[in-house]
Amino acid sequence: MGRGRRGTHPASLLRVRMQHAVNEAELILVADDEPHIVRALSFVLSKAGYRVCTAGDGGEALEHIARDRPRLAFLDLMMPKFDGYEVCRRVKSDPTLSHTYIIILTAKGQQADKVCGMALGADEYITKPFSPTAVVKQVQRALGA
Amino acid sequence: MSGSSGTVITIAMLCVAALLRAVWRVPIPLTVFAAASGLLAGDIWLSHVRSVASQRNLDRINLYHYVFDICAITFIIHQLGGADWMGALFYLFVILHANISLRRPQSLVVTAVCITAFTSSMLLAYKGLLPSNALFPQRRSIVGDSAYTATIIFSVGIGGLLMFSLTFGRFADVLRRKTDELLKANARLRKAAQRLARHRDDLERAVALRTCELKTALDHLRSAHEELRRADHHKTTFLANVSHELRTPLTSIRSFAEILLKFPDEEAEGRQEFLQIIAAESDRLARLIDDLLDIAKIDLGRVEWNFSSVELPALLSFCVRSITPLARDKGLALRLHVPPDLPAARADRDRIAQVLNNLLTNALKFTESGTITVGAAPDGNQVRIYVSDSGPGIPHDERERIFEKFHQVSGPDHSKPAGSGLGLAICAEIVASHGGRIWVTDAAGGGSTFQFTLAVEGLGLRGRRDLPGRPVQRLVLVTAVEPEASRQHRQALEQAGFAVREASDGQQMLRLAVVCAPDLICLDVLTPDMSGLDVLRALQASKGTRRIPVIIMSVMEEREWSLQLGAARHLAKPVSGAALVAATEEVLSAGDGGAEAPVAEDSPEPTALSEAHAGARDEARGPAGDAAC
Repeated sequence: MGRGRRGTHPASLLRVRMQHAVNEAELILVADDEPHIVRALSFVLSKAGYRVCTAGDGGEALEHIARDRPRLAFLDLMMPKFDGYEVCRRVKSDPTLSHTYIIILTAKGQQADKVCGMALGADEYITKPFSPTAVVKQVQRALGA
Repeated sequence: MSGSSGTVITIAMLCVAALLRAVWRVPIPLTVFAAASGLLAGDIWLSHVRSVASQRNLDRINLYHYVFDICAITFIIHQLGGADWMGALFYLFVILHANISLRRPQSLVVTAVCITAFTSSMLLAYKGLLPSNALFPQRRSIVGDSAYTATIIFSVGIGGLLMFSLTFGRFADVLRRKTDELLKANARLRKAAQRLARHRDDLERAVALRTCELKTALDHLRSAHEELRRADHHKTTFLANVSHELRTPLTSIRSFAEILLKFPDEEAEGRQEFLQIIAAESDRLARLIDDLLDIAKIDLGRVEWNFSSVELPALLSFCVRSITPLARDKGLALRLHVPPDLPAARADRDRIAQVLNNLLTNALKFTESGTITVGAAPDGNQVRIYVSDSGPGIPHDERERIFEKFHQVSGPDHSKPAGSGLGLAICAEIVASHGGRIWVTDAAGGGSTFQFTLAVEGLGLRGRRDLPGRPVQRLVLVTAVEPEASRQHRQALEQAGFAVREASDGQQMLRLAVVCAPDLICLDVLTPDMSGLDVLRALQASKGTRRIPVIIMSVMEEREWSLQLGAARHLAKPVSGAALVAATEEVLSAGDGGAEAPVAEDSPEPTALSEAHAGARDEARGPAGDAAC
């Protein structure tokens, strides 16, 4: 529950209202130890009408997922405490949380890492640097908006 | 055959006797002819066999011959006693012939016996002491048969004893000769066995020594392999880290640039914030790229070092002055402790300035309040420079790891660190290239003290000048591979008045040779990363180090090779401290720099040494004095 952030442009207001009507409880988690990346992603996601909660390390990420039940979570691979793989594994092995859509973000682009991520149950894999707007489109597609 | 004449005479005699009996009716009994013929035949046969017999059988045949002689003598005496003079004469002839043909002393004795027996019995018969006989049939013996029997027994006994003793004597001679030969052979065998035992001991010792060396070489190979594996792993990790570190700021830059484009109507302060982020991240990326290139260049040995004599007081005060404004802003005090008589250091001025700037910037970043102290002090034949701060200090288990690439500690307020994690790694590489050491200890009052060492200028061939108040001390570089042996060598050299620096592997040795310009180098062949002979080749190939005399310590077989490669001396291991000192003094007194060694062919792969002396190379020099951490 809760309202999405409003933009000042009429078009964006309309967009917000529409999305608010369709998926009012869409909470998205952004977990990365790089504050700027968190800021950038949160900004565009809010602009697209989603609610965003953030985490700076794997421990916080797990807490937020367990407590707030976001529909989708962005996980950076190289985080302190637990890395993205570990968080993904834990989430996907918990039946109450395994419905969470997980997108892994990382600067590692090797094929082996992709396969590893997918094997753990991640739903998508995005390499940095990414285009935030393209990411938003992926989110909308994933959440069926 | 020598006996053939005798045989002919005997046969002639037999014929004469036959004639005597047949024509002149001399009463020679037929048995005499038979016996004489038999004896003669036997004798002829024995002589023949003897002439073709081998030495061993000869003795046995001689024995038979003697037995035969005795029989013949018995017959003679019997005939004599039985008054058969003709028979006796014939027997005598037979005996004489046989023995004369044998031609030995024993034969002569037997012959003498026969003649004596014959003559004496003739006399006895004449005197009538023997029973009747053909010549003197009228005389009758008054002695009788017992005397006759006794004579026979006596003669046989004497003859037998004579014969046996002579035979045994001969046998005894043969035995003694054979025994002597056996003893001599035995002595020779024993000597040969001793020689063999000595050889075996020598061989065992050589095998043990070789096994030991092989084991050492194997250990070195194993640790080198381990190092290679670790280095490979490091490289992979390094690449992954580099990739991550480079892409992170790039992501921020790109994201916010795109945001600014896609949302042009965002509030001014929001836009301002994003633009600032883009600028800051671009700077961060630029610094990171600079650091990475710097460290890559140092790693690959593509840096042009510019070693000179550096006056440390001036350099230290310059660095302190550069950060004074920043320190003042943060409210930190700065102190400088440099003794006035500090010797000049041999270093690349700009690079050492870079190290100092790195350390000072770190100190500034991590100290919230208090004092930062910079100082230097002499330390044996080195100079030690230190930077102390009153910050939070460094945990003991991190002390080694902070010098690793990309190792970062979080900032004072636990925020994400702004540095690249490469500053201390670059410092470590620069100090290592100077042949020094860098480390961190706890400062009094809770902070940290970073320290590093540099070599002192003036100890070596080049720039040999008397430092005020110090006698010229000659510098020897030694490879320290076996701890026990190298400790002995170091002690012995230092006691003899030399300054000693140790290198633990070939690369370090090459670096130190450039930096310290020693008077002499002692190379162990079994260095971990490259063979001592390769080190020698590299030294000879470079103009800067060609004139330094080298002593090689190795096994004997490589003597020719190392001397050919240009070593001044070759010492066979194990080398005692005294031997090393003696060789060192000998080589150094043979003239400064020793004999000019022939230039070895260029090795195909470039070594750190040749790179360092490359002169004008295509790589431009790295940014001098840039402080980044």
